[in-house]
Amino acid sequence: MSAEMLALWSALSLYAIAGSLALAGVARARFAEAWVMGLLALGLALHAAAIGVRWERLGHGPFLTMYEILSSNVWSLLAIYLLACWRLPVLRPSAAIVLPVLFVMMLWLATQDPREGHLPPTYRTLLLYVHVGFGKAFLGAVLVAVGLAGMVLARLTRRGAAWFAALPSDQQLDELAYRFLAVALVCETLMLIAGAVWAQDAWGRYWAWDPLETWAFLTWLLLAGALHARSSFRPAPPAGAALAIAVFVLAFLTFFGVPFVTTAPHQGAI
Amino acid sequence: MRIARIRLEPAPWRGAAAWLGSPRLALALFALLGVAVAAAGRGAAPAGGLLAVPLALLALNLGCAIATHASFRQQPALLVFHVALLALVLLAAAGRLTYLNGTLEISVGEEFSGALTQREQGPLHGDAIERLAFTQLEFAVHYQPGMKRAQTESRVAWRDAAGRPREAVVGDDAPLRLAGYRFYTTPNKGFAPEFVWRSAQGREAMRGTVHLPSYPAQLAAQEQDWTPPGATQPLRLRLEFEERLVDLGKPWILRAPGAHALAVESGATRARLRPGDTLALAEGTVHYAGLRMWMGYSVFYDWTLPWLLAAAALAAGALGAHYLGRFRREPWRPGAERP
Repeated sequence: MSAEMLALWSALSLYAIAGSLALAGVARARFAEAWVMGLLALGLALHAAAIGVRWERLGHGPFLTMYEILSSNVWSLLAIYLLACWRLPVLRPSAAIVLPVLFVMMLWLATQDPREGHLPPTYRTLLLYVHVGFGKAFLGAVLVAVGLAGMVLARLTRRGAAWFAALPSDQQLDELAYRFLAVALVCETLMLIAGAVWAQDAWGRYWAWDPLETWAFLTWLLLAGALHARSSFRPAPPAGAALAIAVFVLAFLTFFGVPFVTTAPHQGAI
Repeated sequence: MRIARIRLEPAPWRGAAAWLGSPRLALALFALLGVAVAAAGRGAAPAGGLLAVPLALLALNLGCAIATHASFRQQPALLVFHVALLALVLLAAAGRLTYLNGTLEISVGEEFSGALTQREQGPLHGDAIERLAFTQLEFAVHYQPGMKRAQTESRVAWRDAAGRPREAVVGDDAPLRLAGYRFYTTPNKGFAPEFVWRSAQGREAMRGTVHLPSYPAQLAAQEQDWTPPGATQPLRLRLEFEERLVDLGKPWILRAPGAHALAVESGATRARLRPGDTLALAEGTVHYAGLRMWMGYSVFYDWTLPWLLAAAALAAGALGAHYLGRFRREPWRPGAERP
């Protein structure tokens, strides 16, 4: 096994242990915060090493194949989530909700072919990093909001109320989720702008309603609509939580589903 | 002395504008736009036609909201964000009225003079492209092992507005820019046999190229039908390689083959021509001058591009400033003191 694969599989194993600890901790009302966060941080470091070794070997970043896209997204989503948990300790119990979502991507990653892809000439541009960077920040911010929304919704049940009893009120969690959705909207707007500038250079048109552009715009519209509804009508926390989850589901399908149903050149390598 | 109390009623238009600019209507229009975008994405109709109505209604809603909602005057960043969104919609509409999308093919040594093979344009697009000219010089297309296209370097020459000769290498994401038009190289390119045709009626000889199908995309189908000017019988042309151009095992550069022949069929006449050969036919003589290359370009014109970018950047900046100002007022950590 190569150093890259060894580091990647070690990282995935650490994520799996951290996720199991988070789930067990929430269920037993004894959340081992330090262990979960520590294991995630260690896993991220090993995962970063795996991505770095591959980057050095191939001469380009993880932007091309589904293996690279999934690997880099698992890393960036966890990095953003961990950063948010570090700054906002109230988020930490949401690991029991966020990590199972990421397990889906990790399992998918484990089935992908790790062979290298072909770097198109139009990928040699700074715009790639700007577009992809804002895309990852957008999805990361929505994931954090999903963690908060999941806790609000879980507390609608008796068991969920017991699991997350020590957390602040639903209104406070909802306000925090709203803030992360707002950050996500700014990041997605910048992602779309950078993508349009890049598309103009790469394909001679800034916007052509290809499947990925169509669904990325629909995601933007849903997110903008959710924030607009939140600021204009002040929905109850469970309704706000449901909107946050709807945005994440649509964003996930856009970035990881659309590339499977289209042969358009725009494959959504975020 | 008694002073009568006068109750100021809002002007009737203000009530209508407030309704048209209501947040509830905005949400309904978001949903309508979403449906139109999804329908456009499925190819139900051209995107421009489907999106025009919801975007126009949203622009009206936005304009009325800006005019009637006091919250915009209290939150300047939010106002700037919404004004920038309105500008984006108006600019996109102006762009659709005046844009041009097209394609062209041009042989090495030929001059582009405004003729496009495909053309799609807004109703207010003028004829400026017909006054543009550039000459296609040599080009190189690099390939990685396994038929994977890498860089395209296409040399072009033109005269600038002052009449000075200019030359540049364009390709991939670096277009040739002439008078607001952008010419992008495309994956379409190939071989172009050059002929001199003399019709049997003794008219003046005509020189030109015939573009064979794109290479290497249609590597095994390098043939084309061509009817010479004034003739009725088409010629069947087929390029026969006598050397190996493509080695899938290592990097290579697309070039015209040195050793080749051009198989020509016209009715019962069959011949294999090499550069310099002449073939006599019933309707005239065809002289094969040699093999050139042709490059395919897409051409794009939209004068609103820089303004769209400025409006979009302004919208994103204002949105960020609005949220930054709003979230700074309250702590991010529930229960923490205000900073």
